[in-house]
Amino acid sequence: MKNLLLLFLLISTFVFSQKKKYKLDVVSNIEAKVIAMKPIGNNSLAKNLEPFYGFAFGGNLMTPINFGIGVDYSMLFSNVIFGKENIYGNIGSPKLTVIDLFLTHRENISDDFKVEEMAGFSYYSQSNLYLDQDKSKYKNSGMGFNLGGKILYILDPLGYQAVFIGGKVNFYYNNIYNENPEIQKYFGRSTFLSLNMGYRFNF
Amino acid sequence: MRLFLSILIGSIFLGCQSENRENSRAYIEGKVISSAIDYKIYKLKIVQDDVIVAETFLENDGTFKISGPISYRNFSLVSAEKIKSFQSDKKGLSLSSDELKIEIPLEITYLKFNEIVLEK
Repeated sequence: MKNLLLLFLLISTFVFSQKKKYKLDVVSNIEAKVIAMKPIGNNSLAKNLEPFYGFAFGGNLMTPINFGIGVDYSMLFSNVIFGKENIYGNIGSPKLTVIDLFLTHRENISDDFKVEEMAGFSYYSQSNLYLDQDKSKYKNSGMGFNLGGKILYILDPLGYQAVFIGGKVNFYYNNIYNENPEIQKYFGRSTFLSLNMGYRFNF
Repeated sequence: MRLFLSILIGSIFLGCQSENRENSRAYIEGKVISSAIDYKIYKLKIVQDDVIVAETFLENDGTFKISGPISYRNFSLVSAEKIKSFQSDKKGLSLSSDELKIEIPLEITYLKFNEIVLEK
């Protein structure tokens, strides 16, 4: 009985002490932001569409060594430039949904200011309405990667709330087919430059 | 290092994306020759399965560029006026019986018309 008690004591001590020892001090945050995005280069999204505007929600998990992972879900809206309808097609109301998954690194500049850089993959889903059909959508998806950075300003002494501005570059590739490689490239690739500002809550 | 890794894995992802003919783009350019059409009204259209996927007016010299999303099926270039004859860089095109459509066979997604002559 005594031995059993000792065993229990030992096990519980080991188990709990281990748990404490290996517990990672991961902090998380959620954020909301507004985005202005401009596709650049010689491609359909850059030449035939106006700049995109939209919003995004995201979250990050940050470890004590200042590396973390994050996700952004963005919805962006645009219009076809007047006079470019013949090339863009008989479709309208372009909407782009972007899911960014990235690794992020934080640098503490001061108590109030932090800088974060990120790099990762992106999934894009583009949808347009067929102008000639009721409620029917033309959809295609793309993949690519993203690079970005943001400057954060901490609002309260406990560090729960922050505002930020940031920039991001997204590389976009889809699988549209045309037998002419120039045309395929024109419709199938793009590079997006975007600016964002928003609010973050740490917990 | 992180950046390098991202680009590496990203490019693997991209390599896996095969071109998909269900998700095609039709692109047609060329010139319409006519003596009597009104350029403000006359339109060319790309039609697939009775859906207009693209339409355009002509430039002042009769040239045009038109593009729209299509799937892997036949499509046609539809003119608002009857077509007398046409000449293009691809074979297998045919004029419909009502002379308003140029039927474009499967596998052709890019076309250049030297001329499309209208009856009018």
